[in-house]
Amino acid sequence: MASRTYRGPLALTLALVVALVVSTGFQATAQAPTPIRGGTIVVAIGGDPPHLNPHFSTLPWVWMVGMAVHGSLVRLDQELKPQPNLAESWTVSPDYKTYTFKLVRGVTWHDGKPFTSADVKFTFEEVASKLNASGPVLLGNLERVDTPDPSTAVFRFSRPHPTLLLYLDVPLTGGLLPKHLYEGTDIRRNPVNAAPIGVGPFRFVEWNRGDRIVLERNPNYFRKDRPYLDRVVFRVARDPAARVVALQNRDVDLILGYDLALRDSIPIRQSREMKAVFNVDRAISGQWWIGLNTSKPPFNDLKVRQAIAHAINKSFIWQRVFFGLGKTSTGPISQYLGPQYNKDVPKYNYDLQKANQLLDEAGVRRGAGGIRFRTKFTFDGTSAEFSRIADILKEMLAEVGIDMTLESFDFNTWFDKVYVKKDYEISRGRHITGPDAVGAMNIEFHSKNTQPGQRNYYFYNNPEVDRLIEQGMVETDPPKRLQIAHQLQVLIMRDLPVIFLMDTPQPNAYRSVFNGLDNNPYGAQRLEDVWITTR
Amino acid sequence: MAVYVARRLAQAIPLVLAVIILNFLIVHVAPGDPVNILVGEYGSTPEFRERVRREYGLDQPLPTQLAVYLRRVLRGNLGHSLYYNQPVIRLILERLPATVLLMASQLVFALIVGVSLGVAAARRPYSALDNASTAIALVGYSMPVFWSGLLFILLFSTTLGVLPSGGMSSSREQVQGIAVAWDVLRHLLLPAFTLGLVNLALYVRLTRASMLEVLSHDYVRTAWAKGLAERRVIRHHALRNALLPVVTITGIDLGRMIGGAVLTETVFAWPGVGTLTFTALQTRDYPVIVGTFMLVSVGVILANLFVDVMYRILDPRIQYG
Repeated sequence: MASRTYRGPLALTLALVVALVVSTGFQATAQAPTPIRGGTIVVAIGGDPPHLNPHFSTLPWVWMVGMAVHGSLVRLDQELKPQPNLAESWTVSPDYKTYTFKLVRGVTWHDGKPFTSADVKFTFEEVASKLNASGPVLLGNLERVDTPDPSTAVFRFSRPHPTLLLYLDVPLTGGLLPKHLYEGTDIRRNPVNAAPIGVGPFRFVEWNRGDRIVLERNPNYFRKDRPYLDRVVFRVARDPAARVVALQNRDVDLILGYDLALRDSIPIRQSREMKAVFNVDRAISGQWWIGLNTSKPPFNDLKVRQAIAHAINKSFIWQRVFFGLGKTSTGPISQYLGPQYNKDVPKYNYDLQKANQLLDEAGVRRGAGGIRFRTKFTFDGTSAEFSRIADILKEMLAEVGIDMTLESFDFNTWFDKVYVKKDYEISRGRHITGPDAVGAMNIEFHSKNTQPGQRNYYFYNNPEVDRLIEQGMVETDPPKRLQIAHQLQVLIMRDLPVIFLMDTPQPNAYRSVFNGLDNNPYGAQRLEDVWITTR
Repeated sequence: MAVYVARRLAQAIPLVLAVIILNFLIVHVAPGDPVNILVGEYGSTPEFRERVRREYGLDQPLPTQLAVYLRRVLRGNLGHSLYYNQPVIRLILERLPATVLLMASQLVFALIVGVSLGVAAARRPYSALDNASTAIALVGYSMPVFWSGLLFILLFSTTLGVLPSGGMSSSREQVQGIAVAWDVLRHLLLPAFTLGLVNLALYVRLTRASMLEVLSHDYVRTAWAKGLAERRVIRHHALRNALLPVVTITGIDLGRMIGGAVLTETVFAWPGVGTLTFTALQTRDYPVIVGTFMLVSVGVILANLFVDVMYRILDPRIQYG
């Protein structure tokens, strides 16, 4: 009886839902806009790039020009899955030591010369693995690239490299370079770095340093339906407020998250003419944290580090500095990195009583004026967010008797003090946790990476973590590798060399008439898919 | 006069050399390292850092680096930028036209309007015009350009929509021919006005004070007593002498011109030497820093010489030994 009673309304509801879904679907299909060809996009960039070779810079502006001009074997989609690009297909040997790429045939460089496997060999053997700063870390085990024919490139590694495909997009190590223009030259000083010739969707036109970089559509691009835009202009706009005003005035069309202060994204989000879209740049998965120098007392004491973690009210920082954007961090891997993130790690909630208790147990008791110990927070004052975080941290740590003075420098001096000389006690960090969690943790937390210029400036040293990282780096079974990534996050949170503050996606701000943006997991935008609704 | 100029130029050579050596040593002992920017943040190895240091000659002892640099400068070569990998002289010359255009425009604006207002204010002290010019001077001088610049952008660009917000030319349209000049002029107005307002304040106050002093001299009183027309008294008798301190300041401004204006260039995205120097400082691009500082010092020396010559023209009583 009961089923008969409910069957009528249920059926009616279902019918309505189905009708709604179907009609919405049809409507969506009917209204799905067709990309339009033509137009110009003006991208505001916050500084003058040194050159336009993505192998020699980690600046997103250089990456973005690189993706537009240079081209790559594969491209990562938003889910971090490698998609064919100039390599139309590939096979991987079971031991992950050999990758065979089949290249798209008939592709030419912007100067008309044919693109072949010799270019791939030259790029990876002579530039990516040797001259690129990330090369020794990401491609260090590359033995050689064989070229059995002009459209086949075979990468051979001395050890398994299960994550190679994640590093073959333009950012970091993947940008392809023309052998015929670089071979036999001083590659770092080659003029082509400032007037690049690539195989990408846009051709380089001109670069007026300090003012603009201009690209135009490559009519011979191998993807015949791309790009949509005729022209791309990167305009240097150093002042953050003036950049936003330029966007409001339609003088520029796009500001990358890298160049957009979070507070400036709020009025943009409230505008109809502009969008501030939080690009889930998974490959980078940015994180803000503070690093503790575990080689110096009292930070060599786990209880002191735990006490500091308990004394910091992350929600307050999230609201006051990040305006409720992004998420408070729970561990060394960003929540935006997908399945590689592990939420089941030791937690350190805001708890002043616990913080005081831990400091007492560590033997750092309150002295005159209620002060337990004095320390310094070393940061670069060029970041508005970290300047505010520094002020807030000072107040918060004072609550538990830690007297922290603030030591602010320009970026270069800060980098030299912290990364190179390791002359600090507490410092700021803004790091990337992807695209491969084990690889990112290798760079940040392996004890071998504590030398000048390397990123383990906390002097974190846990043999178990080192062992797991080394195992994970060559693990070819994805579930096992994932398990190792999760285990590492637990161990690092247990040891706490770093207080993880925020997982922040980068808001890209752009005029609403532009479509196809927010399509790149590296924060920099892939412009070949971008088109304008109205011109 | 020619002998005097030649002697001053000869004296300038050791001065420029001293400036080069001093700047070279200061920027090299300052904290920071260009290698930090060259290798980037994404975890390089110490061997890679050392390799880059060697490639750029930064592993050499400081005296050796200085000797190499001086040898290059004497051959007219300002070296190679570490950041841009381009010859320093090329980088500076690329930016110089924009800088000279901006600085000269603002100087001409500040000089003409500032001196005119200063003279008018001195002619009728404590009148409404004098008070207004004092107010303009105070506001102009006390408002930082990064603030006044943004206010002008909001007014003229966002609200009224009559002028572009930044850059030296249009990004979207590709203009050609005579339209290029008009396009650059439209982009120049706001930064030149903003920067000129600061200097205008200085010229107004300086001219006013100097004119008030000169107008009280006996020879001016005599000119009035002779029944000369006001215009003649002011222009030919008073202003000529009152301009001497203005010329001094103009000379200093002219000399500094080559260094550009970092804040104004930043707010208005003007591609001048100022932002080039700023980037060089951020990246510890030693050759560019020393190169631009050297050119600025040469500019100041030449401008001072020009001022001394101008003194002679304005006041024939001045004699040079």
